[in-house]
Amino acid sequence: MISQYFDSLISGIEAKIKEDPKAFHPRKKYTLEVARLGKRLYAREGPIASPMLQGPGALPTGPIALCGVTTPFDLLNAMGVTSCFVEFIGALLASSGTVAPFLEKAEHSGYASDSCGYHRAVLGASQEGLMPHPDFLIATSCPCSGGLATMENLAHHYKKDLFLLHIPQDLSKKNVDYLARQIMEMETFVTRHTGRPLDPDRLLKVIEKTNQARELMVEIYHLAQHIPSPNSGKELGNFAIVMALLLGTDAAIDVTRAYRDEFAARLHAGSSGVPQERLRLMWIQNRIQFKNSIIPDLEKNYQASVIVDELNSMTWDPIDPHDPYVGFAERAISIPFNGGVERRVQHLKKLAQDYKIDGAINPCHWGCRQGTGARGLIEEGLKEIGVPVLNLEVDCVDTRNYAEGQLKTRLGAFFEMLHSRH
Amino acid sequence: MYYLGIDIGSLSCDAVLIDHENKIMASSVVPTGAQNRIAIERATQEVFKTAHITPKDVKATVSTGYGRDRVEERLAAVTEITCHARGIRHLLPKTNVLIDIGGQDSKTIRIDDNSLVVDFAMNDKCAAGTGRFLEAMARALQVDIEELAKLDHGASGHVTLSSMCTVFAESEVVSLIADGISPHEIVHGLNRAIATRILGLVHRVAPSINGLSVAMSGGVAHNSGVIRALSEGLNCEILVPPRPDTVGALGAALIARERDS
Amino acid sequence: MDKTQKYIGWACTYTPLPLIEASGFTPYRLLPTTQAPDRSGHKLHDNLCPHIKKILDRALDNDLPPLAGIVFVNSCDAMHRLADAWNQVRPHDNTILIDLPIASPMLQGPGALSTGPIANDEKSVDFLSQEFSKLSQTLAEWSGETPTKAATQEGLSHYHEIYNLLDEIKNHHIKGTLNKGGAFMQDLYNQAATQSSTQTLESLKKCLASFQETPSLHKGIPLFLFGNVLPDPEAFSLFESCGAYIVADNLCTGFRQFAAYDKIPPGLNNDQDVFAFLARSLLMRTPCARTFDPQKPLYIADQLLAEARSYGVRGAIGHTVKFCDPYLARLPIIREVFKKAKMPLLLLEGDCTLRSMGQHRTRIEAFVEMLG
Repeated sequence: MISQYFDSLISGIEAKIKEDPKAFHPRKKYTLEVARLGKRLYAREGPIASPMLQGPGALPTGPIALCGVTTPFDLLNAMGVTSCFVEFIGALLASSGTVAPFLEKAEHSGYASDSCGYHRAVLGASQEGLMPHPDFLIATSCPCSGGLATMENLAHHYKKDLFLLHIPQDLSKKNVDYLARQIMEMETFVTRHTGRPLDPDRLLKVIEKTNQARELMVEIYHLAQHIPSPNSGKELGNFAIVMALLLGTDAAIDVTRAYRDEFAARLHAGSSGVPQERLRLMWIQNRIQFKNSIIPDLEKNYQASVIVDELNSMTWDPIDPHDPYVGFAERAISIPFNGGVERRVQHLKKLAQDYKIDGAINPCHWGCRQGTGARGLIEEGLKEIGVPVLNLEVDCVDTRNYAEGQLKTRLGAFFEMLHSRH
Repeated sequence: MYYLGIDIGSLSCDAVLIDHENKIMASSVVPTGAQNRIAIERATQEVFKTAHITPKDVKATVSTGYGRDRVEERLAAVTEITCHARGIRHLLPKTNVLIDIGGQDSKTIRIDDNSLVVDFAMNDKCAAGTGRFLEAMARALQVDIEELAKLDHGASGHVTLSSMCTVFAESEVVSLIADGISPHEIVHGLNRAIATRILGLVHRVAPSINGLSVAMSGGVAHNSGVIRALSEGLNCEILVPPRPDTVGALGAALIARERDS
Repeated sequence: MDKTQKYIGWACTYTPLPLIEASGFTPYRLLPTTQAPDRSGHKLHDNLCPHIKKILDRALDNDLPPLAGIVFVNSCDAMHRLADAWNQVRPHDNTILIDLPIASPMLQGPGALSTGPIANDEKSVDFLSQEFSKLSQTLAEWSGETPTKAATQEGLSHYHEIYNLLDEIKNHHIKGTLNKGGAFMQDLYNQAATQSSTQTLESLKKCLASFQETPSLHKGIPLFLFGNVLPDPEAFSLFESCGAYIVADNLCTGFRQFAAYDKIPPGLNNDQDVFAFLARSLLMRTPCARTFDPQKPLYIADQLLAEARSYGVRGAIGHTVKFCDPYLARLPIIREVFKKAKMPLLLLEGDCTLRSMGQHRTRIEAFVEMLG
């Protein structure tokens, strides 16, 4: 059933691209790849006895893994595993408008509505048999305690093996080596479950593609810094966090190249993402995953453009093909959500300065202790460099709790204040 | 010999008088108001008057409800959970699950064949879905509470309320009225919202209600619209005893008799 | 407070108290009991657990003894935010954050796994051991002195003795022959957490010396209490006034604080051995919900049930503070396992104050009536 949803989404987008190649937009390409990943994740609508890659009964899509956010997905791609972080499914459910029954299911089975909606959606969907059926799970201690607990619950629910990656807080050599060793053990764990060891040549090719996509992402971010920016609110929503799932594949290169080319073309033509861009905004952490009119309204009414997201920035170096596990480890430890808030605030300050931001919007996702828990410190930190922050108390996944009128009032007041400063 | 049960709730104070054969002799419901001692006095005087007895004729009293410790001449103070379980099984002997929605709180109780509480769940942290909530909605729709109960007839059910907070739901209802949405649809949406909330509490005590008999008590049991929505949500019949607001006081009176013997 | 002592604040039971003492400091638990106004919600966010919010409120209100430093543990997101905010509001304080692994080796006590240690978990022990080495060096910098071997051994043996004495008193409480009630026990735990081990040993020995075993007088329904933070002794009196007798607890403000010090193996000859021993002990002791074994997901439910049964109780109460993600996610399985085992369970959610406990009175009384 869900597989059919992705099929129709894919064929719809492919048809639109074919119909008018000139009107093609990189976001369509991005959405197409997201849908293709969704289809692969739901390729089988039930559990199977053996996920082996080789031999009789081998799957065309390979084994499926449900993971934490900071799993090295390119390594899994190199091993022929189809995977995603579970919050990706939560976001898909929210964006497709189908999330409410799963939230309710989770709440009725005892998961408090105080907890994060991404996780409640996933736990409810698993109880309804509507999560991708995993062959194994890989949990990561970063970004959050709630995510980790969700993985433990899912492993129990599916009765599948769980591997745990402890992501240390600091980027010291000792910690990087510790995590690199864990990633090597993770590889052994995956081999045990797929029956096929990692092909070193395949890993090399995957790393090459990861680094290629990385370069293109750096270019995209650099182009977006331009005044006016070729970027606008909807274009890079969820971009980097979803690209992490496609790293090491041609799809990641295609999508990133499409964005790079589009932004470069806009700059060349002297056009901007939002016509007559007046206010440049930074979006902190989470996008609101379900359909809403916040961004179109702020673009139309205030000529305000969300030109940078906290997560859409490059915090890791190219992966060294001769020492990839160290590279994967450094990458996981260096993401903005890991470590203390001080590091996160420094990162936000740098983005604000590099992109010449007028203001920041922080959608304080309900139930998020890791991200939203730092609300006050982030606001103070950005205030030090003169960047005002609008905190929106919002549930990024739960459509039942969306008070549009209240949010629009706050946004309106914020933009009026920003306009008056100019 | 008579036995008295008094349920001192935040909105109403109820009293039930039974005889030695558990026959209900009289009952009363008075507003609690700001001073519950006066309410207790009034509720008990009313039942004495109806039954033509004096306080001396009462062998034992058990109190329940949030103000249960304020009844001075009592044999015991017993929680409303235990009392409601006892009371509903007297009126509807096959009840396995009781949904009680009062003025300010709601609870569900799983009861065994010996009328004993097996599990319970309470929501007394917010007024969503309670009598107070419905009063606020009735005000917003400019109808009285009795009319509200019937207003969902003929609704197609396409309106969903997104807010369960009493304050925000009231402003949401006002917006819906301003948008020209019919009161029938709004009330249908309200009833469904309450039912969804209560279903969560039911699931906590009875993950499956197959084969179980479900009853309802409390002031909101007078609202046929809410009962319809609950019944649809649970896919089962919901039985309502006569005088559903005095089930707790009845249970207290029955316990008074049991403990005195 | 003893003005001659130098206090190190701590907030999480994964803090290795003997190492703090070995460095010449007195570990002082930052309990969330304070009249300080609520300002931490603005500093961080309102929807964080009241445990860390109240600790931060103490810092904001300066409702603290003079502290030579604070040891934080990265046990959960909220604890990390506490450390983050503390560094902002009191930038001149000495602080260190211990990075705590997730995986636990085999558990001890009722419900212990019979399988051996798992490779993944040995890495956890190594990692934490190195964190403790870093802690020891940092404490030495703060005190200006390197801890001696004798001081380290003394620290270990003191906490081992505290464990034994508390265990002895606890056993009397379990049997009901202590006749002092749960408030007394909680008071002992609070004292042990906020004064030096020497002072604690003195008061525990005095308690046992004056103790006369009396027949059990308690009338309440015997219950097991688990969860996280409930430091107010009055909460236990409230349980008793509702007819519940808390026989034993698995709370991080209760006995769990000292559970890691039940054994001191011989031959801890050097610092590395001590750090490794403490790391293993702390990761292996009865866990908080944030620690788990990936090979046995959601085992905490079975472990808590086994513990409840070991005390012969009639039921259990789970008390957690609001917004605690580690516990929130494990309550459904705990409820399911207890229900299957027909062990009556009441779940309560509080805000660390007696006020929230008062609201639970009806639930606790109804639960007791149900069991009675």
